[in-house]
Amino acid sequence: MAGIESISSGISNVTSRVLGAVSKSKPMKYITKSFQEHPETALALTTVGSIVVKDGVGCYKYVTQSLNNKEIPEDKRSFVAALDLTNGILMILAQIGMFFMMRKLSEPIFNRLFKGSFNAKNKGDMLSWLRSLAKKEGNSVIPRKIEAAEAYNKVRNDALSLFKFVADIGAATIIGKRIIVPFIATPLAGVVQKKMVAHQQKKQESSETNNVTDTKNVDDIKK
Amino acid sequence: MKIDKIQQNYNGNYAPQKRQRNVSFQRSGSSMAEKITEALPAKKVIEFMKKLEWMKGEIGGVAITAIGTGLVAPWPIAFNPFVKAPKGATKEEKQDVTNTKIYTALRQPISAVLAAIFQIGALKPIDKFLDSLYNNNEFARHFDIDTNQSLINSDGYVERQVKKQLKKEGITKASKGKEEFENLVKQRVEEIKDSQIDDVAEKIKNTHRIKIGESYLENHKLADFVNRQIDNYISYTEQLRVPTNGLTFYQERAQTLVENKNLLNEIFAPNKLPKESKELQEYIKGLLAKETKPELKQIFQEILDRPEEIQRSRIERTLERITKVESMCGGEFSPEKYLKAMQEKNAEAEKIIIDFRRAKIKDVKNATTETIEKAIKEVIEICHFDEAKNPIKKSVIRDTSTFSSSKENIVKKVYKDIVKQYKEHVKNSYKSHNQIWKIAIGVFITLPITCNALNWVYPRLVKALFPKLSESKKASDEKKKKGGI
Repeated sequence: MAGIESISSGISNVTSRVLGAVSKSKPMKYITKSFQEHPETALALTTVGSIVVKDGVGCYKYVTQSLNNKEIPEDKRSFVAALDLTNGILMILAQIGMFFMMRKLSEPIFNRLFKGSFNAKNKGDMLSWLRSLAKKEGNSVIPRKIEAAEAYNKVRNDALSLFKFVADIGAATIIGKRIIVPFIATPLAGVVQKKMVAHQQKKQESSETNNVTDTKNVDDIKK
Repeated sequence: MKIDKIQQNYNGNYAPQKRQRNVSFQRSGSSMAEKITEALPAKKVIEFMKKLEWMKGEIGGVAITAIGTGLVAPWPIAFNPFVKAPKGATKEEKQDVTNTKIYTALRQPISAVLAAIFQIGALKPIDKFLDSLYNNNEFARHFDIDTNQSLINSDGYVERQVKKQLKKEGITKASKGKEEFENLVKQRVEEIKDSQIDDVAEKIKNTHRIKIGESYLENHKLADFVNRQIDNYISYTEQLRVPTNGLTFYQERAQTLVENKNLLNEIFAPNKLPKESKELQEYIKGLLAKETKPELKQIFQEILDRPEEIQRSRIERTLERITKVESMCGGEFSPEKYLKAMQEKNAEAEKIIIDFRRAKIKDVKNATTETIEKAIKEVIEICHFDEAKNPIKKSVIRDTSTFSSSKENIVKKVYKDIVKQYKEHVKNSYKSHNQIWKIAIGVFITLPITCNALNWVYPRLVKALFPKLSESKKASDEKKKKGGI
């Protein structure tokens, strides 16, 4: 038991020293400052940033895999890679776009969805009710309007904060990435493919004028 | 703010609300916010959302992405209208295209399940591990001082410690019962949290510095907490003022109340009011039907517009207002006297606000322990009032949590409020580290593991469950290889 504890303490010690050193770097200090000043915004931005980074890494992997995939004919690898890259970029842009669009819409949506609970009338009633309840139960401290209003606002703001987080990230990863991208990606892939074929043909023609003949590639592309 | 808005707030002149609130004020340990939540129409949704608080951050990002991948992504892929068999394709070729789309779509739910297993599964224990590092000064001292939670532990850490302690004492869910055990945990957690805040407040009171282990938090940060707290007190005091454009309305309402004092005291006498709320409502409706004066009709209507359970309290409040109005006029009401009294109260609140602004630390960057101490002491003086010496101030700030006639209480409160600012600062700073470490672990460790696992599991699982789909996909891939992209 003591052995396990000492191993666990050793891991904690090494981890804290390594992470501790990184945590004092300038970029980390900048991120920490952002969290201190605007915690909700910083949390949402880093979360969507993380999703975008992961998609970026995924896109990079797909592109390099396509470029090196021996099962794809060599002259077609760049096409496949270009399509992967287009898809990756589209995915990232759609998510960033949806995230920022939803950030503007999520609070009005929340207000509309919860208008039965959070409105001026209910707030006023709630304050009177809290006071009457305290009186009825012989509580020595009768909450003042301001304290009760603060508690009411806290309940609303906590709920709004979670709703905003889920809505903003959900809009990016569900609507942006999973609904919009698949429908744009396929026609866009066709457009990219056509453009690349045209580009290859142009290149081929220009090389032909320079008396460099290699019709094989053009024939392949035309297929 | 427009007059009608003020009037609306005052009157509560809205459609009646039918919902009954069945919450007790004396429920053990329930805060005002909890009581409010329990009384909201959307109570269940709000409580459910509260339970999802852990989702805020990296884990939530992964979970939401997994939901999208597992439940939404397969459909646009499986039914993508842009992916179709070429013109003149045979029935088999068309079926192959459909099968390929379904085969591709199946990758999504498998990917979502693996993400949940590897990423969320790993992040939860990592979260606990990080929390334990930052709450123990032996390890936390290596990090940025702003993130060191050893002085005031995080809520989750305290809860885990309490549960460990209870286990040692032989108290478990099974031995106590779930509800009693949870209440006990909650009670002990609150006690520890309070005592930690008290300890730090006491230390700041003695030194006007925050010492964490062997290090001190920079003075400018403590000065910033003091200023932020002063800003909170200012915004609190601002709410004690009567909006200047609402003075006429309040003056006219006071006149109506005082002029009809005898009548109101008679019809609203406790022995006249029916005990049951339904009957009380009928009683008020009767008064409204009989009444001819529009200003009294309006008062009755305002009572009826309130939910049933607070109509009685509204009646009591109406009578209390008469006493309050008269006392503000020194016993004898006149509209001018009342207006003057409201203006005096506003002037007093304004004076308090100016005093608070003056107490703020001007040069935060170069703040010293002396300037911090001076500012805190000034704030204490502003928040403290002598009931006998300043009756107007008393009438403005009576029964508030920010001001008190007890010096001892106010000293404690001001220092505790500053510690709460510090706690919030540490909590937010730690959140940044927690988030970044979890993202790094996700990108460099759990994501590659998930991808590799997916590449291994997906073809095998589909082959085992849907062999036909797997065959179609294979045929289509081979065709592509032969025929081009």
